Amino acid sequence: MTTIRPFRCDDLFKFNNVNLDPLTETYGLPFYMQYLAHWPEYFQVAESPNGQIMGYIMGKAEGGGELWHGHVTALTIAPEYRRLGLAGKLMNILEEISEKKHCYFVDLFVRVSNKVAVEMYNKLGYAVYRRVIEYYSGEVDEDAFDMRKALSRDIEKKSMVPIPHPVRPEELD
Amino acid sequence: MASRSHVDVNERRLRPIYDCLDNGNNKKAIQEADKVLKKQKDLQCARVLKALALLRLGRHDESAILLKDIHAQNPTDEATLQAMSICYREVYKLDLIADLYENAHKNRPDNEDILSSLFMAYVRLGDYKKQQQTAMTLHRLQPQKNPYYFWAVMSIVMQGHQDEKLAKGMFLPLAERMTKKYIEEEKITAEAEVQIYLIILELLEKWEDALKVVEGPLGDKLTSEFNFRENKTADLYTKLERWPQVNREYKKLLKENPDHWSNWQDYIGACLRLVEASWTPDKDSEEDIDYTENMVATFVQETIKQCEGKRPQRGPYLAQLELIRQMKDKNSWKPNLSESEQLGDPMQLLLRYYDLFGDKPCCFEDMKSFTKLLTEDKETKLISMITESVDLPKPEESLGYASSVKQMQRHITLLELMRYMGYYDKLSTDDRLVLIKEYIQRYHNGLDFGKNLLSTDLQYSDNYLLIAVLLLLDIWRETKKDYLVWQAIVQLEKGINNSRSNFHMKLILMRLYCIMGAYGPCHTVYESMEVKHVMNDTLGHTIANHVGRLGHFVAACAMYGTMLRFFAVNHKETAEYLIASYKYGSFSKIHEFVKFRERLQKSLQYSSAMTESMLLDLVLETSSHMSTEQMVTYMEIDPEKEKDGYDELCDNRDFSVVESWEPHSRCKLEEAKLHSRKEEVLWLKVRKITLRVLTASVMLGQQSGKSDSHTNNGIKHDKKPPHEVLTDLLSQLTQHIDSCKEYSTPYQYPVHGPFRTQLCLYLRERHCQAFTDMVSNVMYVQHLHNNGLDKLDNEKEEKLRTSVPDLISGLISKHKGSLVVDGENCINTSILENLVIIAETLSHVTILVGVCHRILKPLKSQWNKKSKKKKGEPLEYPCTFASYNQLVEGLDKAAKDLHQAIRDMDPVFLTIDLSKLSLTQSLCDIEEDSAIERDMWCKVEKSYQVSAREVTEFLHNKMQYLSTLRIYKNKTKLDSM
Repeated sequence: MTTIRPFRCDDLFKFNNVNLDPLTETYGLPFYMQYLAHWPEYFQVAESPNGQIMGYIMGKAEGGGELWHGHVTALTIAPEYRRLGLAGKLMNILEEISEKKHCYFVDLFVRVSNKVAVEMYNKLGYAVYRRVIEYYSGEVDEDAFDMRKALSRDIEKKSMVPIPHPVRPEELD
Repeated sequence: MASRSHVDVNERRLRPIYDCLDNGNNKKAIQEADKVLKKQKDLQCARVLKALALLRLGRHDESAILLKDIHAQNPTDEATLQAMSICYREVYKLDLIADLYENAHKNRPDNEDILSSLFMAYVRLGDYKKQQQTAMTLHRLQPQKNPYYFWAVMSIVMQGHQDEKLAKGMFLPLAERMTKKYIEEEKITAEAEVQIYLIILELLEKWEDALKVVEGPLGDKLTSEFNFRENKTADLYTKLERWPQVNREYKKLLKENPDHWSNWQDYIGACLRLVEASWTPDKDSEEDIDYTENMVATFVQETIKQCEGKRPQRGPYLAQLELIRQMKDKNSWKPNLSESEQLGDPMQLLLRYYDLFGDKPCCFEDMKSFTKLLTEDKETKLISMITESVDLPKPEESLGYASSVKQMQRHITLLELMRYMGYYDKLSTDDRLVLIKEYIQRYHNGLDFGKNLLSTDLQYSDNYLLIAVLLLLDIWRETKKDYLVWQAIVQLEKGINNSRSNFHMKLILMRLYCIMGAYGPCHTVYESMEVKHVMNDTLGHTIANHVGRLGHFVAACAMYGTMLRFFAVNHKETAEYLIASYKYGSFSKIHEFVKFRERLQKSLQYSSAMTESMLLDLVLETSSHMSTEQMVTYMEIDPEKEKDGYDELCDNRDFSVVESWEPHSRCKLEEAKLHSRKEEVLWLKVRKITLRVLTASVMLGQQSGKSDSHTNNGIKHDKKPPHEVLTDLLSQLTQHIDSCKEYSTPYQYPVHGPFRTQLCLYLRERHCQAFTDMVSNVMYVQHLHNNGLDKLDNEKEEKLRTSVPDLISGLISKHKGSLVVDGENCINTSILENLVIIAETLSHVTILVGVCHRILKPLKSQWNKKSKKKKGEPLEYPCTFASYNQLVEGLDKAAKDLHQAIRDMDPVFLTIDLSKLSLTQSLCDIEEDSAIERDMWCKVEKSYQVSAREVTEFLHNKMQYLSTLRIYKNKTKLDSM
């Protein structure tokens, strides 16, 4: 029992139960508004029957030629709504939108330490494409996995062929 | 125009300046710019970039001179214009950007980029009319580019956004015609253009037309948003109240996604409308429409069956309950009729739901709203059935602990339901204490399951502890025994040690410390939640209501600083995204953004943070009247005018984050929120008027020094003279205080809800009286100044002498006392707040005394001169001077007493060790708890110390201030000042 609908600006006033989670970053308003203005369809929220925000996904479409792809910028679920398959539903929507935009693949970055998330993305069909060194900065910098899933346009799944060597953040395209 | 090669040369020359600016090396940017300007002294862009660097170095005046000069030259080259826009944006002079591009456009009317920048400049200003005109000019320039035309259309729509009548009568029909024209000419190309047409039709409530668009060929373009067309169709049928179609559309959507909650609600709602109307389909209709309750029940069953084998979906299971709830709302639910049997018995349905999902932390939230379908008997029965189904092991001599995380969560869900259904309210205090201890034990035991969790995860057994804490607080509310709160704090501190990111515990913990008068420990807790950006608005209240009242002034200044920076910056920054919405054609976001910006701008938190922060500066940063006058000048407050209306203030505080499972019979969070909003607004008004009274008084004092007070060089100001402003404000304040009377008895807010303001204290303890009396004194002294000292009034003289010092001294003797209540083993938690608010009142009064001094001092010099001219015995002073002096002395004594009273409550001076006073009794006899308890007392003691130190320091300032306000040093000796 989840209502998934487009994220509205006013939801920023009530996403605290999601964003107080330590792994969910709260950004300045421009960050959210940029996504809402540019890729409103990629910013979806899951709402519980009593109006509480259960989680949300933010994404965008970018790249040129065969690198035209959907990107997951943020995906987060409040602690009490985890293990309900919600993240999978939100990811499906993002993939579907990317299909309609004729993207070749969908990609995302995840902390290498976040085993639960990596495993979940694996289950959803994502594979590690490459490792990005010290992508996350903080008290201790951390590497990211760049994970990808080919969409129907990429028939041979070329976009998913992994790169064996890790790359540095500045080498990302 | 310059040749291409010329442009390249310029670009190459400017490059180093841009690079320096990008790297934040502003000094070097200036040097680079000077280098270029040496070779080419009139290169506009280099000068602008220099201005930008100056600006970023804080050299505003130099920068402004440069900019003004270039602005007057009407620049037209793109790089210069862009750099100037950046400068103006940084100083938030948005109107100058528009002016800049207007001028450029006049000189280069055919330049598309300039025009489009001009359009954006108007968007920043929210000047919809000029937006429209500019977009139309753009359209005429580039008629083949659709976006320009639709910028104009959207600008027309926005012109109506604050006036529905004008919108529907004029703007929307015009926008509709313009769009229709493009449709008829088949010029529509983009999805955004169809979107805008839908926006217009919906604002005009032309649902039928909108439906035609969505279902027709134009609707094919609506592809980017997931299921947009399907959702919109269903939505429009609802608006048209065509229930068969509504039902059909939602059913279609549910078949694709059986968990979509609002679709279930709408599907069921539509069916019940059909039942009401006894609707039946045409004989040969093959449409899939459910028009009886049983058909809904069947569809739910089918859906459940279809999902079997996969992860169970919560939606259809709760849909059964939703059907009953909606029938009940319509009075069509008859539980005893056999035909309803198929629909199920709510209790059985809830039990089944629990069986399926009881091990999920969200289960309680899901079931919560449906428990009202049960009678009290059935509630009890459900509890006992669930208890049985949890099936905890029952060893003979100890507690039976859950054997898995899932079982434990099922048990926790049960406890949450029990609390919500009021089970614990029926138990005696002792019985509840036994259970509290049991839950704490279960909590400890449950930690074993979570040994491998990351610090970013919540512990599985956290809610055992939270329930125990909430039950403790229930007992505290009934018995007022503070040791329970201290125990609750110990438990929460422990919980957070074990579950570093549990924000539910943190929020309650902060509240409890503040209830006990200790703000100090909250700071780290708040920081650890990383409250930032928009959270300043929604969660800032958790500390903003306490930090000042508990005398942590340094922390308060820092907090208001951060908070106000957020609000100030956001308005600047967010304008750019309105522009982005036009650029990307996200027209539906424009309304949303405009409303969002308004909501932030009119935030209650913003308004109160602004007022409190100014009041704080005014009392903290002033140790002489000169510094007060400087502060008032710096604040630029116009005491005559009130900018925002109180009714429009938006309460953006979020109270939904804290878990409480408060029994539904006594949960009054919504009521409390409403009450709190009213109270906050009333208090804000008190504070705003106070601030304006202080400002007006200080201005009055300044003006009285000048010979001609209301005219300047013989020209009359259009502003009211300050004494009239003050009279007006005083009557506003007294009227307002009268209207707040009902708030002098405190409202009982729930612990997870809002916190009271200081309004009640302010009214009950007559702080308002001391303040208004002192304002009357100022007005009396001003009156003497204008009309001569021989116009004195004995009654007013008496008031001047004694009323304010008496009121304040009375308050001090009433509230001073020991921090630890003798013989009762508890801390006097209200003493601190009372002494702090007295100190604040004293401080406001001191400023007003400063104003009297400002007025009286020249009068005394005049008197002295007059006296010297006369031969023989000096003239005797009019008694006003003596009255005034008595006032100062009285206040000085009060300040000293208060200073002493605060020192007397400082634990350091008392050399007490709170941890040795057995102020609380441990709930569980474990070393961990005792260590945490010691630590807690340490923090609390330190917090009280900080408060005492900051308030005494502040009072010290006030004593110094007062010492500069004497008219003569003592009564017998006359000195010529």
